[in-house]
Amino acid sequence: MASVLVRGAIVSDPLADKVLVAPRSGRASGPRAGATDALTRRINADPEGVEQGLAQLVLTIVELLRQLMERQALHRIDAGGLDDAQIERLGTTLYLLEQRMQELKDAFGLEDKDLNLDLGPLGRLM
Amino acid sequence: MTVYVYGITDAPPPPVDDLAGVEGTGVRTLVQGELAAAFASLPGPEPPAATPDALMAHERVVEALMRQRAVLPTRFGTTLPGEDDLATVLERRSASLRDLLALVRGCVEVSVRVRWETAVDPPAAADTDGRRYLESRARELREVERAVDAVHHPLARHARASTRSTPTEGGVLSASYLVAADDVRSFAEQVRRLQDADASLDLSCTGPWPPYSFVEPS
Repeated sequence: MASVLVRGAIVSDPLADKVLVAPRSGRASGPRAGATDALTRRINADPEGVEQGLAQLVLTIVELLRQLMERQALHRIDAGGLDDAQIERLGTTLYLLEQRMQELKDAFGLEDKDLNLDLGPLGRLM
Repeated sequence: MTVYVYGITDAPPPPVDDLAGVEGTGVRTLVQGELAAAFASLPGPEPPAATPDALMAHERVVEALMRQRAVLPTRFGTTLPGEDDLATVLERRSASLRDLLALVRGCVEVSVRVRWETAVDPPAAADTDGRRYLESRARELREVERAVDAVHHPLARHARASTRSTPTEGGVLSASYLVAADDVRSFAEQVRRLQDADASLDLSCTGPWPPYSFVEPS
């Protein structure tokens, strides 16, 4: 296991020996992967960043509504309440909405995790 | 000057003199009422750059605190303008911070990521077919539900608290569990059992971590 010298004392590398169960594929990763969440989730209130902060807030709400609409559409299809033409139109609309969201996120330099919302017992939006 | 925060513990804080923090700074502590914070004073106004060395230094300090006390770890990059502001945060949020310390006391975070071995064709980029789009979304959501039923619910029964989200970098589910420090091995054993019981499941499990996912008041 890896060790490092810190101020004369040998301390163990906190990143070593963290894998409890290795995946069949790829590398394991822990909560550190989101280590910069605290920075990116904060709404930027600087004068220069206020536009982006506002975009983040608005797009988060739009994304929440988009996901709710999508789930509602899927429930209605499952329930058999829509004909083929309606399903096609709904699917196209939701697809285009998703594309447009992607364009807006790109335009404001935002990623999915920036639009996250903690919905308590429902988990997180993203 | 900037105050860079590592985490919050009960007062009195554990000794931190031997710890080395981000950017070669020492670790200091501040007591406010029944709470204490471990922090560094950085000379400039900027938080440290998110380099592997800095992330590791942050993690080392938080884990050193965790070995001695219940700790509410702050995410890498959390800064305040000055020590007064830090004291104010501890004072204003005293009740909820103490509740959170009670929640995580004696526990560590274990992280689990779920993938399904069965590859799903991603929808083609130029696919504007409405029905096909909805079908692929339905399939993705079903995979998440399967992962929640097969992995998250059984594991959550062995944890004091749990939280889950859709990972942004592959996989269908990523979840964190607040597990008693003494139960980490048996929790990992549960994960391995789930993995072994279903050849289509691809699980990874890491820990023990400081309880990063359980420090937000609910």
